[in-house]
Amino acid sequence: MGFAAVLTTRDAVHPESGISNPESREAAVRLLGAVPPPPAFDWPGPLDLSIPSGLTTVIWTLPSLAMPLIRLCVGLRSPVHGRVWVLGQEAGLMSRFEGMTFRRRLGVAMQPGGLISNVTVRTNLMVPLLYGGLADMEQSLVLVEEVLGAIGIARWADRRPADVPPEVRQAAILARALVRRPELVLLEAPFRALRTKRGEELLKLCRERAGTVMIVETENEPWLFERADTLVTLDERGARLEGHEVGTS
Amino acid sequence: MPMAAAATIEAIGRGFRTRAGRQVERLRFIGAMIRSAMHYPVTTRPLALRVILNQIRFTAVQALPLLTTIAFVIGVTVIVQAHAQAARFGFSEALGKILTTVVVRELGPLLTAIIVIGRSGSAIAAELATDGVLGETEAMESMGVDPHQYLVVPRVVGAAISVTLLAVFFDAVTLTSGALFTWMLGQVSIVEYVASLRLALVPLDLWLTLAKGSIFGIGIATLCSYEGLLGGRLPTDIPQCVTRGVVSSMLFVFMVSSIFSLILYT
Repeated sequence: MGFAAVLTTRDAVHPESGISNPESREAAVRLLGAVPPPPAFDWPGPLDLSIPSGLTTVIWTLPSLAMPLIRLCVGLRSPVHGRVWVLGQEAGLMSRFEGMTFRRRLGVAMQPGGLISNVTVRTNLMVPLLYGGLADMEQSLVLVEEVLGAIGIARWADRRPADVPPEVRQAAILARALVRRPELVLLEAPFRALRTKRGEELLKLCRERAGTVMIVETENEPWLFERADTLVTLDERGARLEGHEVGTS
Repeated sequence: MPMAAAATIEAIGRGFRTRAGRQVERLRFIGAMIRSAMHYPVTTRPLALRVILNQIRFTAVQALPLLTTIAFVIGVTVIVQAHAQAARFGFSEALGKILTTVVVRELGPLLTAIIVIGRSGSAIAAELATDGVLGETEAMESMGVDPHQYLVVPRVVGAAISVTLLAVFFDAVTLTSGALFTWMLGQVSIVEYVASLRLALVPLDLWLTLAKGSIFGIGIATLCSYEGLLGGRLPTDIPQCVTRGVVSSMLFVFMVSSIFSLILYT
């Protein structure tokens, strides 16, 4: 993977917050000497990483690191060493039910997408609302229609995931992460299978609907790196803050 | 020699520890499932009802042709044989009692459970294991959706209702087909047959069928869900999950059946 690629580091002021240095902000996600449970090939050892709140952070990493990283952050795995805080809480130490309740504050889209295959796209978006106890049937239908319209996949809503094109499936995965208007969105390779323009639209929507966006990307996506407020590269040698620039979308 | 003996003892100990660990995991799963059922969100009722109805359609309604055929054949075999032996050894007056004991109390629920394990238990284990391989279960957890609530509880409820109804249906078909064939073979008249059954059948028989049916249904769906959900991450794990689910359900059904017999007849 081309970590030698030149990435611009620009000190700039965020248009909304006016904060120039992302590290000075409160961290939405913080890893301190964190090591995930095996298998975690290429993990660089105890890892310190801070994801500032209110900004869009892109972590450009190896495919072998993306999976354990995002699962540590979501609290689906507990670190075998070190600590991980998400929105100020250690999700990895919570009980099953506490963790479940906590994750309702997050919007998550991981690889593979994990859309429920035997229900429609619409029902897929309703499940987190209904099972999270966040809305009743009527309310959830309104919320789902709204996000389906915003993302532009309303005409596919009554089809099952296997019956829609890959880019619609990917957009539906994002829609499901955003439907609850989460405090923090954690996305793993979210714009895969999408054209750049479509990716830009969806990134803009992620920023509008969530306070903080953390994207773990394994492909070289220059357009995405340009639009990130903070760009971190993570490989077997460790994490490096490559640049922090203003979102331009 | 002492080294070989020590190695054998160590292997036995290790095997025992692994098996005990699995049982503890199962108990933990059952505990989590009960907790999930108790905290079921009210907002999910329409979706949960849809899953339950689907489960009943697949487990009960679609199984009716197979179940009817097997019940019919069992009825012919058991009841015609019993009548023939009763006439030969002269215990015709006890015939009704024997039939209710063998068919209604034992064979009906047991064979229904075995059919459901083969058709639906294996399907539940395969479906949930596939969900795991496709990342659906993990995606649910990441969204704060309890997989026990979405996947397991509705299937357990659906299976419990289905097995209970099917067990009653199985008894009815078996006794009817038996009556038909004994009459056709001219061994006993229909009136005598019905009279002996009416004397032998007591409300306890129906309650036993209902109790066994619901316990079998809950057990089969729980064990197959457990094996499916905690199965593995690779497509090659799916058949193993199905096998483990079917085997553990079979063991469960036979053990519960023998416990019922011990309680009732000793």
